[in-house]
Order: sequence, then C-alpha cells, then structure tokens
Amino acid sequence: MENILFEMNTSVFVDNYKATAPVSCIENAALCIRGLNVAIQGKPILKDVSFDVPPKSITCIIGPSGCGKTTLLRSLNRMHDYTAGMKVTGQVTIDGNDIYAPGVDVAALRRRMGLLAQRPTVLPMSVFGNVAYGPKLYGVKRGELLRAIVERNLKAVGLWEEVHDRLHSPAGILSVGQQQRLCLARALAVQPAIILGDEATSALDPLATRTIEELLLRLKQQLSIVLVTHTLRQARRIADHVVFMYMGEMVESGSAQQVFSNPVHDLTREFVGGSIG
Amino acid sequence: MKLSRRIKDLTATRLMMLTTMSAFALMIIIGVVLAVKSEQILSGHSLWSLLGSSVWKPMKGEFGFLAFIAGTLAVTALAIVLALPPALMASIWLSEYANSRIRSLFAPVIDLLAGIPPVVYGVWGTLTLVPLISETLAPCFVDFSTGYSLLAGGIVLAIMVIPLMMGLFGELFASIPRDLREASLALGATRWETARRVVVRKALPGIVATVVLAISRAFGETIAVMMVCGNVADMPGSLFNPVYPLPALIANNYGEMMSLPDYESALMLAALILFVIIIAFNVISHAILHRLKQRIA
Ligand SMILES: Nc1ncnc2c1ncn2[C@@H]1O[C@H](COP(=O)(O)OP(=O)(O)OP(=O)(O)O)[C@@H](O)[C@H]1O
Ligand SMILES: [Mg+2]
Repeated sequence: MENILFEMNTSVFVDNYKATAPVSCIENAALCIRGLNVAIQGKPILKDVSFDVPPKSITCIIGPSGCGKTTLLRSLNRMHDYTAGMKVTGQVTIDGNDIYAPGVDVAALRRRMGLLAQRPTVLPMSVFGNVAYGPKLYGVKRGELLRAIVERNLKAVGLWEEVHDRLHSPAGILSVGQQQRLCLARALAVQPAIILGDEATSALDPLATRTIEELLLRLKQQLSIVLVTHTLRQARRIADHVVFMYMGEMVESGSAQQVFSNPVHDLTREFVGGSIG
Repeated sequence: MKLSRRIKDLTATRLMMLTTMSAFALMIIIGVVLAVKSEQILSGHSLWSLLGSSVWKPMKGEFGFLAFIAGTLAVTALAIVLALPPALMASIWLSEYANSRIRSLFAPVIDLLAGIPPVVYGVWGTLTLVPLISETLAPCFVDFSTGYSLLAGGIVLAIMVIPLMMGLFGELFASIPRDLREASLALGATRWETARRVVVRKALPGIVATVVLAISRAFGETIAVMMVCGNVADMPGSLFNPVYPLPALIANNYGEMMSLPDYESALMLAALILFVIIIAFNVISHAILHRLKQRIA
C-alpha cells in the first residue's frame, strides 16, 4: 500500500527471545519452516515439513484435498494454539525469530500475518466495522483516519463501488464473494508483512478472481504472500514459488518455473500433469 | 397409499396446530378467569386507586397494590443486577478460557444448581443470609434490621437465577462458530478483545433473551423470596427494609380469607397484575430483541 496512514507497529513480538538452533534458510526469507510436525490426538497431520517463503513474492501451496494445506497455513500464525489435542513441533521463524518460542506475543505476531480463512468469516458488525476492526485494536481512533483506511482497503479489493452506500449495514448481508473480498480488505487494513490466504478466491467468479490476483501481484512488491490454492491454473498464473504437499508431507518446493515444467518428483509430475488430485 | 400419506400429513399438521393453539387458548382462559374474578373488587374501587395506593388494610376495605408491585419490581431488579455480571463473567471464562475438561466438569454442576428446589434456597437464606444481614451487614448502614429484607430476597433470587443464566449462556457461547473467534484472533486481537468485541457482541440477542427469561423467572418466584424478604407491605425504602412481592402476597393469603369476598377478589387482581406485567414485559422485550437481531445480523 502506497502511503502508510498509520504508524505500523514494527516492534519485535518476542519478549525474551533466545537464539534457537541455527537454521539455514535462504537470505531474508519471510518465513523459514523447518521440521514442522503437527499431530492431533497423536495422529500426525503434517510430517517433517520444511521450506522457505522468499520475501516479496507469491508462494503457492498446492496438493490434493486433505493433504494438510490448511493445517500448514494455520500453523504459520499459531492458529492451532487453542485446538485441544493439537500438537505442533518444529520451527517456524520469521526474521530469525522462532514463533513457537516461549514468550512470544502471539497477538503481535498474528498482526504481522493476515490470515484469510478457507471460509470467509465476517465479524458481527457493519462492513465499515469489519475493516476498521484491526486498526481500532491498535489504537486508531480518529474517525477521519478510520474512514480513509476503510475506503482505501475496500477500493484495493474492488469492493468499494459495491458497498460504499451501505458501509453501515451488517456485513452478513453481503454475498459470499463480497464477504471474501471484505475479509481480504480487513486483513490488509492492519498492514501485515505476510498474507496467508487459504483459497482466497474460491467463492469468486473469474472477473473478481482476476481483480484479486492482480491485487496480490501488486501487493507482492511490498509483502510476502503464501497462498493455498486448489486451482493449478491459478498457481501457474501468479506463483513465484510452489510447495507441493501430499498426505501431510512436503514433496517438492521450488520456483514455479521449475516445479511446473521440470518437477523432480514423480508425484509432483503426476499432480501438475493432472493425473492425481 | 398416496391418499393415506396425505391423510397422515394432514392429521399431523392439524394436530400440531391444535397443540400450539391450545397453549395460546390456555393463556387467554387464565387471563379471562382472573379478570372475571377481579370483577368484585374492581366494581367497588377504581383501578387507579387500587394501583396508586400503598395502603393495604383488607379488614378496613383498603386494597392498595403499589407496595406489592414496587416490591416485586425491586426484588427482581436487584436480583438481576446482582446475578448478571458474575453469570456473564463466569460463562465467558468457561467458554473462552477454560479447557474442555473444566468445562465438562462444570456443566453438570450448573445444571444441578439450577435444579435445586426453591425452598432449599429459601431455607439457606433464612439460616445463613438473614442472620448475616441482620448481625453483620445492616449495622454498618442502618440502626436496625431483622435481616428479612429486600437485600435478602434479592441475593437469594440472584443465587437462584445465576445457574439458570449460566446454563443458557454456556449453550449460547458454544453455538458461536469458532471461525468467528479465529477471524478476530487472526487480526491480532487478544482473547479478551475477541470475547468482548466479537463473542459477546454476536451473542447479544441471546444474552438479552436469557436476561428476559431470568427476569420472568424472578418475577414469579414465590417461596424462596417469601421466606426471606419479610413480607411487610411497605414501599421499598432501603435494602434493609422488608418488602412484600405480589406472589408472596397471593401465596400467604389465598385460601384463608375466603370469608371476605373483596379480599379474595383482591388476591385475584394481584394475580392478574402479575400476569399482565409478565405479558407486557415479554412483548416489549420481544420487540427489543427483534431490532437487536436485525442490527447485528
Ligand atoms: N481439528 C482437527 N481435528 C481432526 N482432524 C483434523 C483437524 N484439522 C485437520 N484435520 C485433518 O487433517 C487433514 C488435513 O486437513 P486440512 O484441512 O489441512 O486439509 P487441506 O489440504 O486444507 O484440504 P482441502 O484442500 O480440502 O481444504 C485432514 O485429514 C483432516 O481431517
Ligand atoms: Mg483446506
């Protein structure tokens, strides 16, 4: 986003950070995932997943339904914390800090990563209230400023024209596709450094999908995007990097170019060729 | 085959309609019977003089209901004011913070408390609360109190409606989708911010409905309140003075004063007043609830 309207809270979210075992990840990786295991009630969902999310680029996570894409994405901002029986081990580092280290301010951490859930979920308040929710939490009080933030982010997701005359209606009356874009606007309003999108365009028609994809392509100049997608064509259109998941394991990751045209692994070849998944 | 299915469908529809209607009819019948029985007292006194006066001397033919109406409202209001904050806080803690083991431990306890007969609460109030008020609490504020007071009635009633409220709040909060909480958490909200700004907000219509139910319950609660509130027909002046709610008036006197036709009729009018208050209250709260639901959606 071009002009920063309110001071972004760049303070480190770690209180008493202790250097963890050195991990080798690519230079200034936005996220660095090493040996991530997630299990629920002892049943593993993710097994030893490792990959890097390069900065200022789009990383697409692909794989058949049920392979653990959503689980993976949610472990990147500790959304599993309150799931009873869910156990996460391994390392996820952001700017070299392990997000699972003790003493991490989880709220501040999550603020740096906008998570778009697989099912768009609007908060029980107005359209305006939804977009203003995050900024208000961080102390933006001036109505003028809030209005500017709301307008800018709704415009960014191509929703402004449709809703500008009913900003104060309950967000629940919007169509599912509109809600999906509202959720994106809401996430952008807190100015995250990373966007985690779980099929962020699943409820959108081709035109609206194109709007969002173009927005993501513009956004990647400033932030890093991790996108779970079901549609391989979308991944081909916008991905810089691709992570292929299969049955809870990371099978292959690399540049989009390499994964799509010259995959190393047979499973990847079959999946991108359309014979599995 | 086809015909028999249609007949079954028709019978079922009619039957269900009939049961619904009969519940409604029962309410009308109760209202009419009470009105007819109140005829006697209403023919001798104007409604205004009955509702506007607080002088209650049946033997002298003076029937002022104001003190009873005020007593009912005061005890109920006090009970809800005392019960709502702790019930809400405890329910939020149980649903938003406590783990599922603690939750499943508490759920049956709450149901159990809600199921204890009112008379038990009344006995407890008489044995512990009344002396506590009279000996410890009241001397700090007033010269003398027997302990049988508005405060005692309010506290006993509050303790009775807390489990009722908590049971309903618990189900209410459990029905709020997890996704909603996560949407808030993902924006960097703390759990408290999420509980306050999202969960409670989403649950607001349900919270109001629960309070309405608790108030209706408190209005009609008779025995437990009657045992601790002193039953003196004065206007409620202080927390430490006795009050005399409408249900207690009816329960204490009905059946004893049949020789005085005016008295019996006055008690019927008391029941009618209670009935009308509860209906009016429910109609109003229904309207409020409707608007609230639309606003939050
Ligand atoms: N809270 C949970 N409790 C039990 N099992 C879970 C839980 N969350 C996920 N799983 C299981 O983990 C596996 C991976 O689920 P996940 O939602 O991550 O898949 P996905 O790749 O996102 O699938 P899709 O493409 O259909 O969205 C599934 O088998 C699912 O049943
Ligand atoms: Mg998923």
